[in-house]
Amino acid sequence: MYLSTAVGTLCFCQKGAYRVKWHLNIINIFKYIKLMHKEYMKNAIELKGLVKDFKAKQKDKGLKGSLKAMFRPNYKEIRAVKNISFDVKKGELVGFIGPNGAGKSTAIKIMTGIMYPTKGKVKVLGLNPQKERKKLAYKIGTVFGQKPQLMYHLPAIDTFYLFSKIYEVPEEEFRKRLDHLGEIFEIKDFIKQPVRKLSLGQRMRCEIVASLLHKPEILFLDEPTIGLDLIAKKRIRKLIKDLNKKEKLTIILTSHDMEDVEKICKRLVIINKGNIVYDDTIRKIKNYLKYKVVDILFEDPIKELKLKDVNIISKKKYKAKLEIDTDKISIKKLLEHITRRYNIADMVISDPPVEEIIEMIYKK
Amino acid sequence: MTLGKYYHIGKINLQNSLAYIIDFFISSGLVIMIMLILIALWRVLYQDRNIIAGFTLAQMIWYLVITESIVFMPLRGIIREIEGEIKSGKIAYQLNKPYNYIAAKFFSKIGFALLRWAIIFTAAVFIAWIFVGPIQLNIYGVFFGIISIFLSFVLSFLIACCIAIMAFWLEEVFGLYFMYDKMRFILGGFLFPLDILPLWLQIPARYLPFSAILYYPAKLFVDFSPEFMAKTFFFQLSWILVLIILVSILYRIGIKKVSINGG
Repeated sequence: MYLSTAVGTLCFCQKGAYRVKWHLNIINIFKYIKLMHKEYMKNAIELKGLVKDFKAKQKDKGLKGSLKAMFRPNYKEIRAVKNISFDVKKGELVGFIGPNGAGKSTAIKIMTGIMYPTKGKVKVLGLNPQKERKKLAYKIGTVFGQKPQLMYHLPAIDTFYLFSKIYEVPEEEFRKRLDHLGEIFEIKDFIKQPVRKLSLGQRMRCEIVASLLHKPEILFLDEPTIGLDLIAKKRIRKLIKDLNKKEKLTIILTSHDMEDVEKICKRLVIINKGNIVYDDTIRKIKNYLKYKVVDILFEDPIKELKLKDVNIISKKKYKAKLEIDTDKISIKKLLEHITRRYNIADMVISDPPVEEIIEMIYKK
Repeated sequence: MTLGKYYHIGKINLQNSLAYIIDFFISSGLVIMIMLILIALWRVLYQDRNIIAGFTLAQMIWYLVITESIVFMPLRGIIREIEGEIKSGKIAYQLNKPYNYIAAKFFSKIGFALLRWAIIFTAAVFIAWIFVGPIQLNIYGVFFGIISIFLSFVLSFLIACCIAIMAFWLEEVFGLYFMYDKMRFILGGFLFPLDILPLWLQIPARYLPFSAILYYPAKLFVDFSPEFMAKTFFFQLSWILVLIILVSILYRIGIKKVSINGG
């Protein structure tokens, strides 16, 4: 198709020079370049007007309600995804965040073809995930944090071998690939231990390796850091970032932990109640991240808490929760203020939860 | 390559299920108990005659060895597993693997089922041998009997799938299973060969899938004849074909309804 356009353009150049004004040709050439550019920047994922409804059975309370529901079931439609459209370019690392039940996992499940959308167009690598599910399966890798794929009683290497068979990876290539991934993910020491004896972090690393054996073009990670401790989280984050950078892998990641996305993604999509409320670079969201939540535990009971430029959320005898705007008061200043006046036992500084960030976006 | 995939699925699942090996031996203990009761029961019935419905006592007991070993195939477990995966939505996570869900389930269960069958069969043979002694077995009967037992596993599996897939529409599928189980007991020839039933019941029972699972392979095993073998394979294979079509239609309609809890 592009070739014919090119030939057409050339012919047009030769003939058109006599008939049409020359600048029209240049416009045509531009069009061609644009087309080539489009091919180069081809989207890995295209979502347009995605809607997903769930039917939920409703039941009145008590035995009477149960009987009624048996004969005349009453369904209520719940719209989990209201209207989601976005594109993901090849090689991008996109983070999806949103509170529980926002619809981010539903969106991922539709993109990987395991759920049918109610309405809307979905294209992943140029394929329809529902109709060409098997074909797509060879090209994508998926990890669902809440649904382990590794065989529980067997060592991970057995599942890896099985996956290499399922995805039809030649034996020789599988060995090389596992060697390579085993090194990056540092799983070689425990690859032969039964999965049930691994720690959660080790297991998650194995899960990701299992989904990469067949060299997918896109990797979907649904809550990969769920339940992990801080160190394990950090490690997984770094690995994900490296995969995207070094292997040029397109990665879609969901989380309800802002920090996950903040640390590794360039682009952030926030979903709330089935709608996209934010789709832009991570740098812009940092404006909202200047707010910090500070929990303080005091050694002595405090009578009153007076601090300038600080929003006191709650205050008890030994505890207080504050919110600060780091533009108005720096953390260092706050620390100075507090330590000078009060005797503190403990202090935790954290980012506001996703829900609050969403609220701030709405307010603006 | 495609079949190789399923072979490996079977192999790894067998390894994984060996963690539950104790369960095997408990169920074979149960089989021994049931066999002892049945032997005592049939002894009484054979007190004043040598042949009932064309079976001698020894043949009858050996017939029960086969039906017993087939009935103990882990059908309930398969139904519970598929039903659970449908209801919880876990089935969805297997859709994005490049294999057929039903075929993968079949191969992941077959190793376990055959191993369990072999253990139960051995236990039942052991009891039969001690109490009624060996019978004259035709070498063809044993060979084709075992093939037919394998087919009856395929058939049971497909029926289990049909029942389990109904979970897309029904809240509870174990009612269906209960019905199927009882039909199998009476019309399938689990406790006695169909030949004992009155004709008006016997003839329809011969054409139903229940007898293709139990009666045909068991009778073929103890009382071989080429005509009976042809009949056995004809009924078994046709029911397998019908059920494959039914399962794939039900599956295809059902899978569109899949919704994942907590997504």
